[in-house]
Amino acid sequence: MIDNYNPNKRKYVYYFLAILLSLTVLTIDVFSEKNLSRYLSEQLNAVFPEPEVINNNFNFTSLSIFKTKSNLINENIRLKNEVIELRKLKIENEKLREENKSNNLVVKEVDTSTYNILESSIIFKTPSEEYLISGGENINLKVKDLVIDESSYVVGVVSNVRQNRSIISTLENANFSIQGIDKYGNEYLITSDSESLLINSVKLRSTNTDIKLIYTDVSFGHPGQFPIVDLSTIPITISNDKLRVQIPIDFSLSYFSNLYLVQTK
Amino acid sequence: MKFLRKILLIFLTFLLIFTEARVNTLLSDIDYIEMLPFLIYIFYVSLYSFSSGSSLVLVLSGFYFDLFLTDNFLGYTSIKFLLICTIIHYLYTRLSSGIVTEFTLFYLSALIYKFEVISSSLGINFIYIIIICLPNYFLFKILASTLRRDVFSTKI
Repeated sequence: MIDNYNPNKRKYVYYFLAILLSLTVLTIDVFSEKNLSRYLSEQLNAVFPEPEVINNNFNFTSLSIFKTKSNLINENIRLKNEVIELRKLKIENEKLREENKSNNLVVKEVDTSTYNILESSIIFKTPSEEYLISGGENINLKVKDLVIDESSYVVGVVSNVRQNRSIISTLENANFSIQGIDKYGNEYLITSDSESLLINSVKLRSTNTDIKLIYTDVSFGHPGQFPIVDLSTIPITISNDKLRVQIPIDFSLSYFSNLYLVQTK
Repeated sequence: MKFLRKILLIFLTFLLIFTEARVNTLLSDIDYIEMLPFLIYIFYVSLYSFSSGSSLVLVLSGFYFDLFLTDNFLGYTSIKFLLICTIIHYLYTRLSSGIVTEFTLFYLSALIYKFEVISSSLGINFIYIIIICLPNYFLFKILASTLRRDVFSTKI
């Protein structure tokens, strides 16, 4: 009788029940095609709204205590504030100049009459090595929309869209895959193992090896045509009507990287 | 009071997850450095604070992870956290205590914690996990020795 009541075993039972509860929630979410998690995510967003940037310019001279001080001290403080403001403006100006420079680079590369280019930023790196970026359903972002760098090369694909954020899969993700096409109409599947990109032909229409660039295409559900890889410097051989190339990834995404989202208008 | 403590603990774990994600995002430029404060928390719970109450905290933390930080189905991460806790506690109660055993268990928990990364590319990831485990295990030891200091048995 005493043996049956084992507090340690009881703890395991609680954990087992918790796993069952999570499994039930998981099953509901799977069968509702993520509607449950989307609904909860939206509801909780309403409870915890995104923090707004409050930019209160605190003005020392407006405090009543200073009014009683001599004009000289007031003037001094006012000037100090002005210097601080000017320094802030200088820093902001430099940042905007840099941003403008990189934006101009993208605009030059991409036909802006056909596509919307939205600048985004990384919020979090997820435990599965994917990146959470700002912007989601609120900016009409869709799954398979492209993420490009400053030279308009594809660096990632939107894999999940939420209310105001999205998850992107980048070249660094081992589960990254994208379909592409070359100038001869040959189709490729490009996958990543986080160290290098593996390019495998899916349909070869031409055996020419001067492929140079592999692009995205609308037929694969992505905005087209944006370069994915440049093969102009890589020796290419076709054997048994199959092309297989492996190239190292020389791209690294960080919190400070400039990212651009491409949407078809 | 007990209820309030539990609520506070849940929010603290959310904060821990948030911190982990934020710090690792900032450290994303540096390879082989990753801070895993939430894994340290799970490991501490499985070794020293394995209770029925902590299962609820882990379930809710997993939900938080799935809702805001991952692409997974809701409940997936909760199951992962609960499995880590149960397996590590089970092994800890059956294996002899010692720093090697403890580190091996910590490594095992990190392997399950980083399951998605390992499953995508085997080989190099096992070494990578060992490297990121070392500073995190050191942090765990500091935390454990600070929290488990028995003032009554300390010699004056």
